[in-house]
Amino acid sequence: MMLIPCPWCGDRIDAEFTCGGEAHIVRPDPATASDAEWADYLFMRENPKGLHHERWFHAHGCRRWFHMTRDTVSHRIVAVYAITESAPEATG
Amino acid sequence: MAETWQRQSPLARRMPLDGAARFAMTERAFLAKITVRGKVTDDAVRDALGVSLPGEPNTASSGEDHAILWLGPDEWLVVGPPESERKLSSTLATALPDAAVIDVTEGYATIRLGGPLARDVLSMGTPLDLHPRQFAAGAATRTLFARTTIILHKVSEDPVFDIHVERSQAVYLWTWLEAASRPYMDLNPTTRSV
Repeated sequence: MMLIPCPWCGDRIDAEFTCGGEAHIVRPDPATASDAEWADYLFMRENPKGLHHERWFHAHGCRRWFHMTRDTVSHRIVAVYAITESAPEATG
Repeated sequence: MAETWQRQSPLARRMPLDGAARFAMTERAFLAKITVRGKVTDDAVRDALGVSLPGEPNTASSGEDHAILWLGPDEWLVVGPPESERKLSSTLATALPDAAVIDVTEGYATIRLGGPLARDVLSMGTPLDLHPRQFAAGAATRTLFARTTIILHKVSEDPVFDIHVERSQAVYLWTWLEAASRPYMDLNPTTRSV
């Protein structure tokens, strides 16, 4: 079991959440992007060993999306920030 | 709203449990339940219902007839007495022109748990800390309970909890709570009617 600190509801069991995958993916302009760039945007995801910025959804709580920076090795949660914010500098 | 003559609660055939004042479980049938989403101002709600919006996440405010439960930053559940849902939803829709006011009365069933052992029984279904220090009177939240989603509301200082659960899950949750409470009760299985 992992406790996830929802920005609205506080610490909740991970089963209440849905992970939305990698955060901060920028959509390229489809008019000018090459096939390779577009494929990269659609399909290719980081799979880091270490800090990872992710989107999470509190599905069985306040039903809000938020960002979370998680260490994929230790499951340590480094930062939780609003869905409208960009990644905090210090957490790489 | 269903016609009254053909209206039946999903828990209509369940007998309330009464465990010698230590644990009790009853249905609160046909409470009016309205979800409100969108732009909602405290003044408009107070003028319409006489109850303020809950100020903090995961809390509820209660008046004489109504309770307002915080479910999300722009989402609330308004609970009122039975048979009041038509009036309540039109009152709210008039008072809150920039919000979606949806009557979910028939979509949810409400189970009330009470007694000093209510917290022990609830703790078998959720890792949420229900100690009064963490989950005080007036606390309310949507959460995962026994693999289903519920809206849990601590109604008063006494250990009294209301569980709002989706109608299709109501019988499952009721029987789950019955089973969970069995070790705490001196119930003779042969006298139970369910």
